Amino acid sequence: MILPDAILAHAAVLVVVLPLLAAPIVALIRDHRIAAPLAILIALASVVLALELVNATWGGETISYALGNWQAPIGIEYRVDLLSAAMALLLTVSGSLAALMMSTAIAPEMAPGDRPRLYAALLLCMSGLTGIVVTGDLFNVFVFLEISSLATYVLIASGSGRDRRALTAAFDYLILGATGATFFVIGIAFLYVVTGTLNMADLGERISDAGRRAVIVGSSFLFVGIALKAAMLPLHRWLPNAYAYAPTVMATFLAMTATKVSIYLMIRLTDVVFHTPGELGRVNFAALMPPVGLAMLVFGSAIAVTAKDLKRLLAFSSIANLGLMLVALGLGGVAGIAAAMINLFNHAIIKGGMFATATAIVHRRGSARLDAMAGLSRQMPVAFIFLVIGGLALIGVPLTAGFVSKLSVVRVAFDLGDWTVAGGILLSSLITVAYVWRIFEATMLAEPRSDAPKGDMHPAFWLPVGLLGAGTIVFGIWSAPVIELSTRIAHQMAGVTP
Amino acid sequence: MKDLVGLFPYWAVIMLMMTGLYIVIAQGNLVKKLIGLGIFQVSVFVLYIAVGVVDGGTPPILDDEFAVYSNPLPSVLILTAIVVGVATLAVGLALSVRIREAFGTIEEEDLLPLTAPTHPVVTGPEAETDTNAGREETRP
Repeated sequence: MILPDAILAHAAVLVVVLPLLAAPIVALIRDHRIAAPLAILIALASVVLALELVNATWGGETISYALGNWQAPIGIEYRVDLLSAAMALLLTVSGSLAALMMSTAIAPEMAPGDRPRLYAALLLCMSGLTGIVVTGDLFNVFVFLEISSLATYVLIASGSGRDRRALTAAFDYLILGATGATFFVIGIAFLYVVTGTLNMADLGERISDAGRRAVIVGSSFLFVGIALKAAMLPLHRWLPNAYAYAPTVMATFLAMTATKVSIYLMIRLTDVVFHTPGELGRVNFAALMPPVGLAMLVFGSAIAVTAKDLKRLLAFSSIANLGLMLVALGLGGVAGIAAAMINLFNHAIIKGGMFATATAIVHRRGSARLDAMAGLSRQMPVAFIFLVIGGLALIGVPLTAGFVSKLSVVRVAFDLGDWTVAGGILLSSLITVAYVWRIFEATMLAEPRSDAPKGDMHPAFWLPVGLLGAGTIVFGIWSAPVIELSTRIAHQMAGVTP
Repeated sequence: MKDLVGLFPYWAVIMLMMTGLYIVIAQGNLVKKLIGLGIFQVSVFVLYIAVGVVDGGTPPILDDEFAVYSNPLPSVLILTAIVVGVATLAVGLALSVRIREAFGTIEEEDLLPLTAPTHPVVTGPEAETDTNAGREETRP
């Protein structure tokens, strides 16, 4: 659209390499007043590249980029279709919004000299996650998974300036994350042994002739590895602490991206490696997903009701929403994948908006505890309104993006006559009302403290909070773009022309 | 007997894998957990390298005398994985140092009460330098 062809031809690799190369430069800059704008600039440049990728793949085309001009399947291939491009756009936009809030949000809890390295970690995390979605090589996925995970551990641990429990949260995630990633590599080993290739497209063709037992073992290991990163019950233990103790601005980024990429991997491996949509390998993992997803929905919502801290409440609500995506995936078929994608995009916007608002509140008041939020509706009316918008969307009230999400899954469930799923979603929505009510109760009805800091959101948060809040409403009323995008992706994944 | 000897690398892999995973789960000391994680990862490295060996093959260097070579690709992949493993270990150890500074202990059972969601907020690693402070707080 706006970039010269010379850059456009390499957009698929630049979207990963640009933040990757910029990260060490940002880390080496001593002055945080130079490092912050540079990080923002790089993140915004990645958004432009991702937009170009979406533009190039919108009609169903696939971009194949041979890294170092070594042709696939010998060389590493970057393969971008609409799913990859849309995910890359989501990741880079999330990274940019976090980068925009970062320097203000982190100021009270981190020494100026340390901040450039945190900005570098954010860029590395964004680069790693983007790498996962654009690469066509399975081992490359593992490498990028580890790049993003290592950066994530640092991002979480950097919350220790506010609460030392960030350190143990990061350590727990490191042990679990590294174990999960190792499971992933074991899975790759089994599949490589029986097919002799690491290219996902190639793997998809050869796997039907491969030894059955090795494929079952390999795909099981892959599945467990991904499930851990997706915080799938019962492997979700790392998520609440990670989100609750990470700096809120980093939690915003992680909530919008990290687990979403695992959902992406599930969709990608469902189709490319295992070739049959809705079925991972010849072990039917798809049948496992609706019950596990429903359990996550109910359990996540129920624990969120008991949370005493806004960030922890949002973290458990994230587990519930991940459950909804898994349910949609497990229902299978084109409609199921489309519903999962609608949920993925909308939830990123809703939860991103709520976490961004929480960032502004924590920045002003120094705490995310619900009992410290008394009087928020009068003292920070703008932030309160955005919390209300997000809360209503989480419940699934019409005219919000959350309604569109839930409706899409319920509709698939109705078409399949799956009443348990429909009932489970309804039940979880009722529990959601309870935990969203707790936010309102704490912010609106509780007796305000007279010593509370004055003033509404800092201007640095206006753009990110405003954009995400507006997105929650706009995509609830005018839902066509998200639905169209998700349907196109689902059709492309299933190999059907729309 | 043939299985026992011929598949020796794989038996070793299984042994190492189970040992590593068990240490990660069973040990309460954070550094020991990291050591277990290292053993677990190394077992996967051995698995990849064992898979790449071709019976009677020579190292993959082009030469007129030899026709059968071992597969170099798994070894190359493992070079990358070793780097990843070292990086993970480094971050893990750095975190343990910071945890020791902040909580005064790296034993999981001592950390659990201090890291419970209900425990009052303590800021930063500088907040607590006394090594016994953690234990005293757990007393009723």
